[in-house]
Amino acid sequence: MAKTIFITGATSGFGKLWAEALLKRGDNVAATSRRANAFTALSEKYGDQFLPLQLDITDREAVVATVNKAKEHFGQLDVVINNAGYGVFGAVEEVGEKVARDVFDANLFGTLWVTQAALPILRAQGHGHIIQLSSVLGVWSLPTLGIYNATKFAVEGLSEALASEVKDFGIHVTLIEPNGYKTEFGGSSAVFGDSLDVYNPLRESLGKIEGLGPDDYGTPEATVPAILKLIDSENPPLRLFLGKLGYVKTERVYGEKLQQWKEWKNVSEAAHG
Amino acid sequence: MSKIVFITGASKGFGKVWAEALLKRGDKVAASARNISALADLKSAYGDSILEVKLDVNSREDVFSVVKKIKDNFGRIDVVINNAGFGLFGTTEETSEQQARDQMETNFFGSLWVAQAVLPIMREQKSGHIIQVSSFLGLTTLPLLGLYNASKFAVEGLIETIGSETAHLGIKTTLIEPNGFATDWAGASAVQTSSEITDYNPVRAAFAESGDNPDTWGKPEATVEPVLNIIDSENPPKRILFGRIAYQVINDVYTKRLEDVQNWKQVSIAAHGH
Repeated sequence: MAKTIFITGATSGFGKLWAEALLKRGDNVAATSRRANAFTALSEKYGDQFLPLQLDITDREAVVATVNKAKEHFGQLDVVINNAGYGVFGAVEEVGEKVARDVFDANLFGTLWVTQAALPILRAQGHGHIIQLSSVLGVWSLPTLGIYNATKFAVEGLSEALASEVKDFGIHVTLIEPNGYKTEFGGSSAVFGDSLDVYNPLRESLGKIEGLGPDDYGTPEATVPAILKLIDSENPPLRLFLGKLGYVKTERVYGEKLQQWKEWKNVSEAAHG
Repeated sequence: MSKIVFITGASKGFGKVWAEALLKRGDKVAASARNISALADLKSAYGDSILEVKLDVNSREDVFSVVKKIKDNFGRIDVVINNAGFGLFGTTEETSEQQARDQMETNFFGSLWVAQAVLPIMREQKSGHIIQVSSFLGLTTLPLLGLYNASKFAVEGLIETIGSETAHLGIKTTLIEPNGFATDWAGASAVQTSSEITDYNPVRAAFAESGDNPDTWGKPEATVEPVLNIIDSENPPKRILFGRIAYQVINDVYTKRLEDVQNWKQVSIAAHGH
């Protein structure tokens, strides 16, 4: 049976690809963009299957109205994909207040508002699947991406807790954790901090770091089968890496963290009293 | 040599216990709080060794001017302890916009502003230690603590990154990850969301029951020696768990997470495309 999917930030990158793939196989899609008239081509091609919506996800009231509109239009919402978001580049010291707040408004709070708006609908239906676009950088960090790291770590903490709150209502939660992909993430979608010379050597050495080499970037189109499989799964996972780097590096990072905790375990335990 | 230590949220809980221990052994402490009258006892006991400053860490401008004042007063800042924070209790769905924002303001943005304010000073000194009070709930989660989890996960990502960006500049970072402690975190300091959605009552009941075992809560006074140990260490850990419960919990959580993603590993790898 065709599903109804609500997806944010669907004019470029993963969002656009996934929306098109879902429409192509016959699902209903409600897609949002900050811009008006961003979806004329999809509207023409898919007609009633497609609901284009203009939405700034940082406006909580507008989010609630827009999610409700999608529900009224299609009669139900099976899957919500919180895809909208962007990257901020710069050492933590270089990122100003407005840049830091803006990216949290989009990546964390925008995701929270959409989630909160969808929950009453999903609870009433007794089923639903909330899919959050996190990142491998929600699990481990890279220099010059500290504020972005923080937004995605936050989405991880929020969504894992959420999953434990709603599982008895038939609602599933999945965190999607892509490694780097050749999307507009590091290009036209990126926001940059103010450069301090002291961090230039760090910036220049970034290409050598695991995760930022040319071969480390995946091909966006290759994520489509994974997303369709995830959406069709009876028992979807809480976390899903996209790309070849996520599992191997996370296994190593967890190992290193556990090793350090172990080295200090006597001190840790003495702290209990 | 005595150290200059700046502690936020020093009017109670860990912050006050640590401020007092540092003063007692002869360090200089800049202690900030929204309510500095709670620091009057330390002021009268330790005089010029303590600089008590009124500060709401939510204001970036105020944070920068207070950090400048501390540097001017003591001449340098060796250690910063980002301790100010509180817990928001309630389901994700029942959290209001204001509550969600307030939780992130204090626990995350407050820590960010303090780190940004001290970094230029520590870079100039070519030394410094940023100690961040995180939580084992910055690594694993509990129902009813989604926004708190988000705030502590966020500081984990933030401080880990600062560590990788500034290690070569002589700056050290440590995340302290306590399990539950008998501070007033879950009591007088806690903020509650509404609880109007009755569907969540079973989740609330299970949560209330899970926190009932007093043996799982650590004693705040016992953290003093470990904190002094971290401050004095030539090579402090990037992260350290506080308490008896945390290590086993996190070890199990990480094992389970890796098992779960392993089940979908082929799908993940195929999604790379080459």
